Amino acid sequence: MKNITELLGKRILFFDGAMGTMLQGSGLKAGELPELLNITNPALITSIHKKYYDCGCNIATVNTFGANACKLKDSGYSPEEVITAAVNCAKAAREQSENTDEKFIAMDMGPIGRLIEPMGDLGFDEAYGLFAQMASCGEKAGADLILIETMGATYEVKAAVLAAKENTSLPVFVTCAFDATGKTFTGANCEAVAALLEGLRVDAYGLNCGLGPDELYPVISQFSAISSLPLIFNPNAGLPKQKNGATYFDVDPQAFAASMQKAAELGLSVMGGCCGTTPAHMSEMIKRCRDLPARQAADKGITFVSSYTHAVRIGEEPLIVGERINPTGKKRFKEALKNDEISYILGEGIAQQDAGAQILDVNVGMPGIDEPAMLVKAVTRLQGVIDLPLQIDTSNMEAMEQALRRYNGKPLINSVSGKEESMRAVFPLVSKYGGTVVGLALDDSGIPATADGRVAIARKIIETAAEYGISRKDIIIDGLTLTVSAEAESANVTLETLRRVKKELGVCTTLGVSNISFGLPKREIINAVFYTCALDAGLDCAIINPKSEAMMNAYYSYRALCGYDAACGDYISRYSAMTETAAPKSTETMTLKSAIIAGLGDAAATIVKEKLTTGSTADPMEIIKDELIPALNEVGDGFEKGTVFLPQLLMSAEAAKASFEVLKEVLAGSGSDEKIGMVILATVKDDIHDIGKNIVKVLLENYRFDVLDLGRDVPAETVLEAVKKHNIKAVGLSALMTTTVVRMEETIKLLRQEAPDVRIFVGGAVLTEDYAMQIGADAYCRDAMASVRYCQEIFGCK
Amino acid sequence: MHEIKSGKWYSDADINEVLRYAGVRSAEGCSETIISDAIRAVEQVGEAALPKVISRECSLEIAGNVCCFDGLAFESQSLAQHLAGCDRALLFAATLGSGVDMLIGRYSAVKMSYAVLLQGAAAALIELYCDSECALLESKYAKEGCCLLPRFSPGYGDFPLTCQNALTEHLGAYKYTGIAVSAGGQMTPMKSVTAVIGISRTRRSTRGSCASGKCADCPNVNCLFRRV
Repeated sequence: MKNITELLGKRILFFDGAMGTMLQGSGLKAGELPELLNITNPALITSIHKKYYDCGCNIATVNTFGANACKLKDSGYSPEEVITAAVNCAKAAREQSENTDEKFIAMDMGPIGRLIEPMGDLGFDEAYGLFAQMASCGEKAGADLILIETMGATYEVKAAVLAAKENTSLPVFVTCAFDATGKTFTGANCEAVAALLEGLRVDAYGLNCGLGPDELYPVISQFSAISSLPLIFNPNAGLPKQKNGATYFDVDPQAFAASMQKAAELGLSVMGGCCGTTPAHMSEMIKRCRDLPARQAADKGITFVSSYTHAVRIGEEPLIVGERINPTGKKRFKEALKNDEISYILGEGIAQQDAGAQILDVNVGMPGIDEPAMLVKAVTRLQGVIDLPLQIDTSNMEAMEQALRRYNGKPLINSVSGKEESMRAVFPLVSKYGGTVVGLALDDSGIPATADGRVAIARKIIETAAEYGISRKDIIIDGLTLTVSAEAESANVTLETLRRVKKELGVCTTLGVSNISFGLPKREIINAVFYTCALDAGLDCAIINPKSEAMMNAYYSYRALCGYDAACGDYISRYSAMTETAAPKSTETMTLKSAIIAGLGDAAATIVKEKLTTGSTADPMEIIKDELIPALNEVGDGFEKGTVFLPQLLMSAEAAKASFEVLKEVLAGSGSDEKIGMVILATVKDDIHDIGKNIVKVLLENYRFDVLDLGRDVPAETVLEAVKKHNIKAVGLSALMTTTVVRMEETIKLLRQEAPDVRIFVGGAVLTEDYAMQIGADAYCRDAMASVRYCQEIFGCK
Repeated sequence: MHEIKSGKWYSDADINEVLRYAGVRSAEGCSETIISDAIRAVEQVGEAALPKVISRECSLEIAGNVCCFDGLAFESQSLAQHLAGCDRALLFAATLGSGVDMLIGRYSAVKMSYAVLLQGAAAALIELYCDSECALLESKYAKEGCCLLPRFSPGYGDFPLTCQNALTEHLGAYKYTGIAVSAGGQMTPMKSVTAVIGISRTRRSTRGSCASGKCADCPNVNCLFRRV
């Protein structure tokens, strides 16, 4: 028998139709696991496969959609037993069928049914393990390919594909479920899915389930336009409807076949059906589509990078890669890395997205930190709050591999160079995990002084990449910016390299722009002009600080001037809004106290700066004692009396924080900046609701407590470990539901046994004073201010 | 003042309710900044949401405290009392999608004062969405001369939260809506609702039906969020 991949492109192949619908028709009861029928009623399953083979289908999808260890855990059967039986049913049907055409068996893997972190609670590695077990069992039992289907979450798709490719040698097909808006349920659009799957080098992909062929026609059309790989289309027989309590699908075999024929004309490789489709649907479809030409998959040459929601096309208009997540030359960032202050990194990321970055560079390399662990943490946590594609920036190959593995999408990778060693290390990672890689125009001899030399290295990088199966669309060349004050020709050489790389090599380009001005005064002036020159020379991705006004002025002006901003719309909306709000708010009539009470962060920070510079109150401690603390107290008292509400309390807290940040710079190193003491906060095991805990954190920090936030779904042992490690006096625990208060009680018990001196305060929607005492807490805090008051009491503050 | 965009599914959101969920007990005396931020929060949540719903009609048999939906059995006295007299019911699940969780997480990292307004907006919008979907179901069943009882969710009375698993599994909720149940029995995306809705031929709720006045049937009369 042939390998199925050899037939792709030569002719259209046909998947089977629904299994579940057929089983429900045969009396499958509610709550019964359909996969167990492989063992309890193999004749039924075999007969369904046979019907599909007999009507001309080439691929039987075995009955293993939910045969993972998680779903089977109470069934009395192992995945191996269920999967082996399932493949045996398909094998028997293949032998019995009189259809003489090619017949394949697809090992089916559906979603696990739980969302992966950070959207849910399932670990990425746990998901990988479940899929790896299924895939191995499928191959061992004799499947010819693996079908990963009905996927809605791209992270789960990635775990499944890696599991299939690393644990078997079978071809991997993937289909995702889309709605009529062209998105999966976690919000991924077609381009995001295509970028991810093509990066992972699956053999064919497309869509299944969700809706009928007509509703999904626009979605499969989009895939057809962008996909460089064979395409699969397995829609439902229309929409599920109910009549007299029974579910049915509303598209009959003839109508289904007609719609599928229309879709096939877009260019498809494999066609079949999902929910509601029957052998009759497949039979009609095969009759109409059997002789149509199959898709001729060809590289579309589009340079994509993607996040879990969308892809960014490189090379169509100038893009900004935010450069701020990088410790080089940044004292505060280094301190954050050293203290594992991930929230600082997230804040930098969010600020750059708000400032207009389309991609974010992530570099956390610094002596003395565990870079692989830190990079994975930064990448995964950033993907929890930001939906921009990331540029993974490291020279540590272990860090690069781990970050690529855990990245949800197709990243930019920074970087490979023309050095043999670099290419040997980086290219295998690119071809395994997917990504578009930055190629630096330097090699073992260093950075060539001429554009000729740099273009030659770029060419070598592109040619070597091809040997690893990496298309030129996935290479973007960095022609390298050198300091103009050290070498007068350096800017000209960089610009010429840009022009020639675009023209002669036809690949996209990137540049770290601000190096040009190193050692010069007023760097922004020259940076912005050089940036404009580089854009004109063909720069696609500028690695810059999007918070720099001068650079963004250059960006918006260039776009408006060069036809990238229709009717100057973006330019107008940015700058006309600026004139309206340009006048700085007068702080003359406002005191620091009133600014904090009103929750005006910018004003509060400005007033503090003015005080420090004009010398009206030059002593930072005096500002804290006489103005900040009284303001916080007034708001806190108001909150307790019910005259100030939660959002106002938090706005004041944020204004106070902005003031503290200004004072911190003055106080740094003076020893006056010391905190009252450290408090641990955690949402207990099994609880994923953390908003209450986060509110408490903001308030405690405001009252000068050092908060160690352990996050959500935190096991009791982790809390204990942190208490011991940091010699903690007070722990705050949060739980939202009655079911998780049980976990809170367990955590308290463990702390009582192992750390009897620690004081525990608790909060959460279902808790009451009595309930809190009953489970052994020291205090029940009904809100964030109560938590502050309790900690002040423990630490002996006023 | 800025108003919520019209013509969107979330246009009917009640700002007072958003504020109430965000811990503002009375909009009076609340600064204009907070009110306009609450409106912005509704729009942002509305745009980040990918609302999805699934419901399935089942036969219902009640024996003692056990309610059986097409073979799926839940033991709960309050559920059995609530559904008394019905011989059919709808199993129901709806969600705003994980984009809303991500949005709230984003602001929790940098601006908690706005995150609580987003949280309030999301709480109000999932209710609004459920109500509008239930209103559609209600008009469908009205044609058969039936009325729908208020939504009754796991966690109400003694209807255990642990039923969430079987309920979502039975509906195929993950496949069709992306609603998953975590190892600890909590739903993700977090702004998701599951419920049982009784279909009654004889009963006419005097205190409001599925789409409106659902608080009236709840025994927790001191609830901060009770709608009168």
